[in-house]
Amino acid sequence: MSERLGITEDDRAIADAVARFAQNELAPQAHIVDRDEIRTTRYASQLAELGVMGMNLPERWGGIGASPAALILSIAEIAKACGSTASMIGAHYLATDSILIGGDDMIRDRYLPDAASGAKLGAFALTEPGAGSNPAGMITRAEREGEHYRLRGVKQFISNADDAGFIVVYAKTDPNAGTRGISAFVVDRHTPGITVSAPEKLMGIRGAPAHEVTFDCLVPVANRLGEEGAGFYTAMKVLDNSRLDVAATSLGLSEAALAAAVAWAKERKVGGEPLANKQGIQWMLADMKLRLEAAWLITLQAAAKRGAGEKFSDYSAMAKLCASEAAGFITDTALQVHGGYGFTRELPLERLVRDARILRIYEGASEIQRTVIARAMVA
Amino acid sequence: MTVLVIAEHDNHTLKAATLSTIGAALQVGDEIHVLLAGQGLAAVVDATARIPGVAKVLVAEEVHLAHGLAENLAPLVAGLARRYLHVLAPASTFGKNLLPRVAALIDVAPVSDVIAIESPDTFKRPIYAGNVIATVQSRDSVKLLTVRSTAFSPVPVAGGSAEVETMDPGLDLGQSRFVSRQLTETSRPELDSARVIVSGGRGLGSSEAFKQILEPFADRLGAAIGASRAAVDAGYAPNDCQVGQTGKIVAPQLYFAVGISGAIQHLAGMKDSKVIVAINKDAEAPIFQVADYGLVGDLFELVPELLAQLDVGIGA
Amino acid sequence: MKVMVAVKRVVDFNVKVRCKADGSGVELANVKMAMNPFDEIAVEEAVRLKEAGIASEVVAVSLGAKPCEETLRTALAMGADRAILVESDSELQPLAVAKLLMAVVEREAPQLVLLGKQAIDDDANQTGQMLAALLGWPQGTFASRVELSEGQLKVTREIDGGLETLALALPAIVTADLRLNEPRYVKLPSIMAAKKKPLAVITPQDLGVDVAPRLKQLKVAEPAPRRAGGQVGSVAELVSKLKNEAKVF
Repeated sequence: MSERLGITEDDRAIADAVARFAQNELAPQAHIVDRDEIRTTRYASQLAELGVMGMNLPERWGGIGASPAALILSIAEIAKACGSTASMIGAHYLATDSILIGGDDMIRDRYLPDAASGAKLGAFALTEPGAGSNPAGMITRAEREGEHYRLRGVKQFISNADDAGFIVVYAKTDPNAGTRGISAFVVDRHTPGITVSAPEKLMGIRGAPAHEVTFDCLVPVANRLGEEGAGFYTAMKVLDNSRLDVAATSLGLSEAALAAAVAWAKERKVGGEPLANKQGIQWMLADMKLRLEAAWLITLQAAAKRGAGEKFSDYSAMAKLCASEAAGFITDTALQVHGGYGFTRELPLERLVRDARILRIYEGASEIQRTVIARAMVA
Repeated sequence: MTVLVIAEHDNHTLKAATLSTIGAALQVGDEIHVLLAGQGLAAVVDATARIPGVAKVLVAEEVHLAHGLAENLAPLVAGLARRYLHVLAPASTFGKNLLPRVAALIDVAPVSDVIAIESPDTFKRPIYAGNVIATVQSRDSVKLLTVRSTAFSPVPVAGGSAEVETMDPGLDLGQSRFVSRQLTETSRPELDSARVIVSGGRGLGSSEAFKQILEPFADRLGAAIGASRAAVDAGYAPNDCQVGQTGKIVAPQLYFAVGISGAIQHLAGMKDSKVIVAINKDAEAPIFQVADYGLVGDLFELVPELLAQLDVGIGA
Repeated sequence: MKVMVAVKRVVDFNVKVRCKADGSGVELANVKMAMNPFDEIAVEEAVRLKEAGIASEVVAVSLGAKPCEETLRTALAMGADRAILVESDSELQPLAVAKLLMAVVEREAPQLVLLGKQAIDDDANQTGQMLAALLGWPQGTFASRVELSEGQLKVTREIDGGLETLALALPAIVTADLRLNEPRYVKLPSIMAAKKKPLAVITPQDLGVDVAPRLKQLKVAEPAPRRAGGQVGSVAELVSKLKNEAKVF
C-alpha cells in the first residue's frame, strides 16, 4: 500500500501492531467505556506491555526509539478504536515528556522506566481554575522550606490524576517573575496533602476522567525539573509535542467517522439505491476526505520537523488546529450522513462527535493555536 | 473417459460427500471407478457397488489403511492415478488431507474446492473465502480435484452393479499412527464460528420463549443462539448473544431470524450470512428484504413445526 | 531441534477484495497486506516451542516478491530467530512453493516444519501436504494441538465432525488450524529488535527449482449478489428449499 509522505516501513510496522491491539482490545469496549464512564487507565498495563506507554521516550528509559511519525500513526490507531484511551495516553505523555525535557538524568532514571513499563502512570497539572490558556496567571505556589518545597494550590481538569503514580505539577517559585517564575515538579501521587476530587462530568472522552487536584504538600528539592524558573519553557516544549498527539487523536477519530460514513453510504438504500449514489452525499464524503488528508499531511510535516530536530512550534500548532477542526467537521458530517441513526447511541457517530469536541479546546484552544502560529510569523 | 473417485467412509458406510463426488465425476467422465481403502469393508463395498454409474470398485484392505492415514494412502492412490484423466475426492478434511499429498507424489497441481466443472480441464473454485470465484484450467495430464459436496447433486444409492476388484494394499510406512478420534458432542457452538445461527427477537416475548422455542430448534441444528438488541434489552437473552452493529458481526452458512423485525443495526451484523431465513408475523418487516426465504406467520407454531419436519426430513 | 515455519504475505483479512474490471485477477494495488493468519498461528506455535525449550532455533521462510521481507520481519518480531526469503516476482503456485520449501528444508535440516493450513487468498490448502509428500515425511494437517516429546509428535487434528489424534515420527510437517493457539500481540520493542535479526535472500534459481505455474487462472468474478428475498408458503416448502435449493442441510 502506498504510504503518505514521510512514513517509513518501520513506522507502518509499529502502527500495524498498535492497530491490531486497538481493534481487538479497545474498539469492542469503546461504547461501554463511554456509556459507563469506565476509566481507560485500566488499559495502561497492557499498553505498556505492548510498548505504547513509553513510546515517546528514548530507548535508554524504556522507549523503543520510534520516530515522531510512528508515534502519530500509533496514537491515531488508538483513537480510531477509542478516543478516551488516546486521551489517557496523551496525558501520560505530557507528564513523561515534562520529565524528559525538563529533568536531568537522575530524575529521568527515577521515573521514566517505571512510566514506560506501566508500573507508574503519569498525570500533568498545569491548568488552574483561573489559568487555562494563560499559564502565567497560575497562582499555585512552591515555596522553599529547607530540602523541600511547600506546594500549595488547586489544579483543574487533570486527566489520569486519581490513578497516577506521579503528577508533574507546574507552580510559581517566584510570583513576581511572570512566566520566568514558574517551576516544574514531579510529585508522587500518594504524597500526604494531595486531594483528588471526584471526576468531572464530561461531554466526551468519558473514559478519560479529569479531576480537580488540591495540593498542600511537601516535595523534595530533588523532584524539581531543572532550574527554578525553567518550568514555563519546559511546558511550552512539552505542549509542542502534545499538540501533535492531539492532532493524531483528531486524525484517528476522523478516520473512524469517515470509514463509518463511507460504509453507511454504500450500504444504506434510499429509494432503491445506495446513498453513495447521491451527489449531495458524495460531496460530503469528498469534503471529509479532503480535510482529513490535508490534516494528515500537515501533521506529518510537523512530525518530520520534530524528527529532524528543527523548531516546530508553529507546525505543531497548525497541525493541532487543522486536525482538530477537521475532526469536528468530519465527525459531525459523518453523523449527518447517517441521518437519524447517527443520532442514536446504537452507532458510534454521536460518541465520535462528543469525543472530538475536546480536541479544539485542550492543550491550547484553537484560538491559542492561531496565536502561536501568528507569533512565529511576526515575532 | 474413466474417472477415479476416492471414497470417504468410516469402514462401514460411505460418507454422503462421496455420493456428491461421484455426482461431480459423472460430469467429466462416463465410467467411474471408486477406490475404497480401509479395513473390514465388506458392507461398504457392497453399498458402493450398487451405486448407479460406478463401473468398478477398487478395494484395498489392510490394517494400516483403517484410519485413512495420508502417509499410507497417498502412495496407493498415486500408483493408480496415472491410469486416469481425473481423480476426485470430496473437499472434506479427509480429501484435503490426502489429495495434495498424492498430487505432489506424481508432480501434479491439484485443484481444491471445485464448485463447478466447466469442461474436463476447466473448473470453478472459490477463493478469498468465497468472495471471489476463480475459473482455472489445469495443464496437467491427470486432473486431481477435491470437490465441494454442496455444489454437486449426490448420485442415488441403488440401482447399479459394479465389478469389484481387490488391489494390493501397499505397505505400512510406519510414519504415522492413529491414536484416537473424538466426535464432537452437540454442545452449542460459539456465535462467531457457528455454521448455523438461530436468532430471536422481540417477537419471542419472553426469556422463557427463548428457552422453549429457540433452544430446542438450535440444538437440533447444532446452531449457536443469537438475539437482536431489542431482545437483549428486554432481557430475553444475555448480552453476549447480541448480533448487530454493537454486538457480534456474524456470517454463518445459515441464519434464522425468528421474530426479528430487522432494524438496520441488526442487519449490519448478519447480512453477510450465506442463507437467511426469516420467520415473522409481520409481512412488511424489513427482515424480509434481506431474507432468502421468508415465512410469514406465528413463530410459536412455525418453529416447532419446522423442528418436527427437520426430524423427519433429514433424519438420514 | 530446529523448527522451520513458512509464512505467506496475503491481502489483510479485513479487506474486502474486488475483482479487476477485466476479470484478470483481484485488485491488489493499494490494498493492505499482512501475514496469512494461519501462518501467524504457525509462527506462534514455533515460538512457543522455543520458549518451552523444545525448539532450539526458529527459522521463518517466505516466498515471493521483495515486500515479503515485511512479513518475515513480523515473524522475527514474534520471536523467530532468523529468516529466509526466496525472492521471486513470478506467480508461485502451491506445488512450486512446496518444491522451493523442500529445497530450503534440505539446506536447513529442520526436524519440524510448521505452516498455516491454508492461505486466505487462494484458499488452496495444499502446500503442507505437498511438502510432506516431496520430503517423504509424515503430516499432521489442521492441527489444533501439538505435543512433542522424545522424538515423537502427537498432533490433534480438526477433522469434519470432531478431533483426531495422530502420532507422527520426526521429522514431520504440521499445518496449523485456527484453534491451535492465539497469536501474541507483537510488542513494539520486538519490531525494532527484529530489524537486527538476520534475513537471507535467495532465489529459486539458487535452489534449482522450476517454478512455472501449472494451473492457469482464466478469470475471476465476484459471486452473484443476493437475489431479492422470496416468501415461502409453508414450513414444508421451506424445508424442501433449504435442502434442495440452498443445499444447507
